[in-house]
Amino acid sequence: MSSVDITNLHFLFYGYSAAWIVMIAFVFLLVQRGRRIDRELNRLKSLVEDKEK
Amino acid sequence: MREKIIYGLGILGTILLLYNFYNIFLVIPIDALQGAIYRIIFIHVPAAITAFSFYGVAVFASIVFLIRKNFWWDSLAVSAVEVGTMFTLVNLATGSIWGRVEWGIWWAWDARMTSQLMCFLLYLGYLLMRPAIAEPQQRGIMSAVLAIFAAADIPIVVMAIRLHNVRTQHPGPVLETWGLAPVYWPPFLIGIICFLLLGSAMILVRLHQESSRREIDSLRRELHAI
Repeated sequence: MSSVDITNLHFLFYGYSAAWIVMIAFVFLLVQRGRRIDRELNRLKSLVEDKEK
Repeated sequence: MREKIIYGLGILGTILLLYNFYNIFLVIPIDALQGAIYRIIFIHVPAAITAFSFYGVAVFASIVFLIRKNFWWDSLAVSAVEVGTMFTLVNLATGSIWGRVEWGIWWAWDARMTSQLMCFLLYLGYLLMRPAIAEPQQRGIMSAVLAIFAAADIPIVVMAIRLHNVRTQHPGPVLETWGLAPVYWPPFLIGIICFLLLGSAMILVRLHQESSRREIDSLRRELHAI
């Protein structure tokens, strides 16, 4: 395998890694935000219930 | 039901993606001119097509929001823009890495790449602008107008490599000229379907978060009233 082929493979690896890092990071942020929103929603619901009692 | 659809889309997209990886890395032959690096095209182009499809959804949702003032459409628009922007970033990153090998440079300020970067920045601006406007109606209208305005850049991106009087570093069109070898079409098309399925699942998750957010806003108002 020539040095050009090895460079090609390295950059192919970087390309696919970059794509997956972006997508996985996005999904991770999506899940984190979802949890934060759910927590806030539950907190406010219990607050409203308490105030109504 | 919503969760079943999300999981269904996610699982189907992942299975297709794994099958596609098998095809890309183990079945189809290496390109004679570019070597192994050409395999980036199976992520780079589907990411752009997926992003533009979702921007199209955002424009449609924005127009409907401006007409009906129903916040569900605003939520759909922001969800589609967010996922579309993520895919645009994937497109820019993979393109830059491919360019480093093929051209010896990470970036060229040619018409295609600059217009695509502008598209990314315009929609990033859309996402950054939204939290700055507190009033929901005003936020929805401003966002809808910006989403439609930003979409004017998409035809420029598409046409940048098709106009005869514009010289670009970026390769010319291969899709409509059937410049892609027949053996490369299946992984290419499956790549687009995978990203559309996974992106749709992400949009549905995001859409649910937006509806929860609206519920939070109404609960806050209720708390103030009590």
